[in-house]
Amino acid sequence: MPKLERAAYYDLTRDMNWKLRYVSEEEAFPKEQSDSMGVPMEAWWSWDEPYKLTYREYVHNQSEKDISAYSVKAAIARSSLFDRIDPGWKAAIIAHYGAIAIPEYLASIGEARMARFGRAAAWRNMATFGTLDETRHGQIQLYFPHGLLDKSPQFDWAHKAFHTNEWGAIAARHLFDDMFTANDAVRTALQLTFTFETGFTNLQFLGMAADAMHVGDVEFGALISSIQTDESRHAQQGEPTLKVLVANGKKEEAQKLVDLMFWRAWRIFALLTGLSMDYYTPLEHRSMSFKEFMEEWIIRQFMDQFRDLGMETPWYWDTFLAELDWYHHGLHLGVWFWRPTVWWNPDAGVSPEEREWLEAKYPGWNDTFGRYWDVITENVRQGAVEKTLPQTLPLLCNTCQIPIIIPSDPKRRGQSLEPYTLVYQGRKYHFCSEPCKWIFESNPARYAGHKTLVDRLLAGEIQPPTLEGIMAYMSMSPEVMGQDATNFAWAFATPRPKGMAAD
Amino acid sequence: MATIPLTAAHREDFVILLVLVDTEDSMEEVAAKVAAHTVGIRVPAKPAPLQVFWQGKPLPPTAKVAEVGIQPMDFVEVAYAE
Repeated sequence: MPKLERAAYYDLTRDMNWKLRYVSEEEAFPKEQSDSMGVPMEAWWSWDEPYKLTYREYVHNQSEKDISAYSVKAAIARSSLFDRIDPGWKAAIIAHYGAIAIPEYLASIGEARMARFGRAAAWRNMATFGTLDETRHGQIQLYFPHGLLDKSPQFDWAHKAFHTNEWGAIAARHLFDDMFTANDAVRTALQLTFTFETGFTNLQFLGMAADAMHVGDVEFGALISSIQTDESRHAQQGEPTLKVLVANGKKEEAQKLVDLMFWRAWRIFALLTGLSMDYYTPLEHRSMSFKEFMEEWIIRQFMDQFRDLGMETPWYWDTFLAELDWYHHGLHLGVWFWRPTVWWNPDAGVSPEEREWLEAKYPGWNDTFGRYWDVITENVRQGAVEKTLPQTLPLLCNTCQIPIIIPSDPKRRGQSLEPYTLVYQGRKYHFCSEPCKWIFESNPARYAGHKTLVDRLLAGEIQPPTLEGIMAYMSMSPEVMGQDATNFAWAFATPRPKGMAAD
Repeated sequence: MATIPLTAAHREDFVILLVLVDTEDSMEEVAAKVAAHTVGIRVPAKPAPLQVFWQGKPLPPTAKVAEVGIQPMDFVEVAYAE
């Protein structure tokens, strides 16, 4: 059977929009699944994706990618490459798998919602491919760590994490449910495909792919690059959706949706990518600092695109810029200190050489965060490891679910370190930042029923209400609980004499 | 004579903690409970007394939690007295 040239049929089959006559617009596209925000049906038909492809092309491209990624995996499985990989890098990938693999399946739900409830045929078409992409991502990011189960039981958390009440899993679930699992198609296009995927996931995937290649983790590098090319394609649903809204007088609504999710994306990225890039990736393989990546990918590239669309930087932009210097350093200190509560082995990343690098990339680091690590290092040297382990919980933010941390330089926050609070319907809520409080206040009914891990403890939901009880509630078992990645070698390393070249 | 949870931080530390205190605890005892999680843990020890701040005001070391009127999940801050 002869195949038609794509140019002969593509435009015709792509435009399958029609005026509904037998059902109402509201019946076919309920607001709950697809909030048009008052933009009329036919105005959506101008939705235009930059990169078009047919299903035949999709299948061809995707099968090539899979052949490539899976053959790399097979080759690596026959080698002892993984055994020689840096323990800090292992932390980065184990954290990645647990935080990302199952959410990919949730993202396929969000894409599937757009595939049915996107308000233009071209959009529904792109979302159909997106649904397949995210299913692929879920499968491949489970299959790869599955092959590594014999190396560490922590790889089981690629599947298990999202089925537990571990605090990081709660934070990720809260974010992703807000972003797409419990979001209508229009909001999903703006908050997932535009804000999160066009902006932030570039960081995690491209940045990690670059570092993976440097480190020699060919398998992970191939996996991640392969995923990112899919991402670039289905992320393109964001811009046309934004353009339709802006062209129809809904710029303010669109701006708010992006502002809400940009901050939430920043929070989770600082936690996952900030730690991986500046502390877990071996020093000699760090291509750029986390701040440098953020400046390039978010502040320059994404914001240029954003402004070209007539949008503005979010109201909290100055707060965000200031946080690039300290926030993820605080999160790293917290995750390392509370390491038994995470499913990977955090690399402290504070050997003398690493501290020099941190000081070079973040001037003043030694005088702020370095001071905490000085106390911790001394405790380790004195054999008092029990002083480097937690005896209580940190307070968690009722929006992002991440510990409420403060700049180590108190002068930056003024005199009081008091968290942001709100009393809503008789219950007190705590927040890490003004934007997290604003997010909650923008739609309190959406968030108010949720309890942080600390709320659950105080409500008697964690029994017994002890550290052991909390660990069991989080499904944390001794063989999975995080330990220092290098067994404190960094605390006993002597500084390299000045003037010697690096290895 | 009841245990209540407080949110607490040492002014020189980096994180806000959940700390349980007794309503009959003096501020000196409250400071010690917060110090147990912070001083010599992440904050260098100093040969200076620790003060408790609540609603921005320093509290006398002998004042008790119930007397002062500190409520569950109120924020207290502990700092070295100058």
